[in-house]
Amino acid sequence: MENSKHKKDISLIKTLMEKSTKFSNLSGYGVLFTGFLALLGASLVYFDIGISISEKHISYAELINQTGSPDTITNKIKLLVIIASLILISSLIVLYLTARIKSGKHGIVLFNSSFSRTLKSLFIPVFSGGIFCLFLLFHNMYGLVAPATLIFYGLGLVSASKSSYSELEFLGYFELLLGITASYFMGSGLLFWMIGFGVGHIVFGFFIHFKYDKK
Amino acid sequence: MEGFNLLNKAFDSRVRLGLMSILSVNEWISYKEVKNLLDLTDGNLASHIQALEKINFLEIKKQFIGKKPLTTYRITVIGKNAFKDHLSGLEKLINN
Repeated sequence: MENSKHKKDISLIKTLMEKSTKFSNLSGYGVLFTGFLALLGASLVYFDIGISISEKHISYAELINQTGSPDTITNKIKLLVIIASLILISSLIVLYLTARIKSGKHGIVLFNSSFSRTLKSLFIPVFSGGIFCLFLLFHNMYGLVAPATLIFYGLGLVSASKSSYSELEFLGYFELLLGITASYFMGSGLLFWMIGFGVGHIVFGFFIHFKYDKK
Repeated sequence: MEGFNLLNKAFDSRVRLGLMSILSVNEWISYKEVKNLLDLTDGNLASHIQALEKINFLEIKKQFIGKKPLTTYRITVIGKNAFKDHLSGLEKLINN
């Protein structure tokens, strides 16, 4: 009798410690969906830039090596930035909405201290990386933009994993590894980006869904 | 039985035990957050908080963020030690 009460007490303590320190409202389906958004955006970039039927079309590799005419390159870069921003904004909206639904379901406050800690640890590297990438574009160093986004995002994930799902750390290392590899194979940045932001998120989204959400 | 001597009467109530669990792993934490985590009504939680403050297990900070009042709590060193002892008491008891 007494023993089972003590066990209950300990499990209560454990649950509350965990619930109050970890950001667990991240939704598996939300992450999954951002993966598809990334793939969709990257395919748009690929098919617009990638197929060189007419003179106006230049491949990603050509863009990186700047073999096209300066006008075409500037236009393509503009398009690239617009598509990338759209992916980022729509992904954040999706993540926010799915997190709100999940927080309602599980009775965990959305805007708690773990939420702001996770956000802060994720966005300090990601935000500085974003600005760095804008400067890369500004200085016409297009080739390292995709690898740099992977690297800074990976760093953000590793630091965010301390206040959210610990598995984010592995996703972080995965993105880092891809980013570093992509820095060497510069012309294939888009491909690595699709693997990291697309496939990585889809696999991770499924994982989160089946491990945490489906309870 | 070994372990009983470590248990603290203050934590007999599950609300107080839960409250201390949350405080032990957080810095300043708001009333609203605690209330939501413990899934309690206002009157119930307030009395337990007062009881724990009376024995110096937690400290209360009241401030204003703009025009909104914000009450936050933090565990004290005394509270942290008492909670640690209680926890190791519980662990000893279930391992016996």
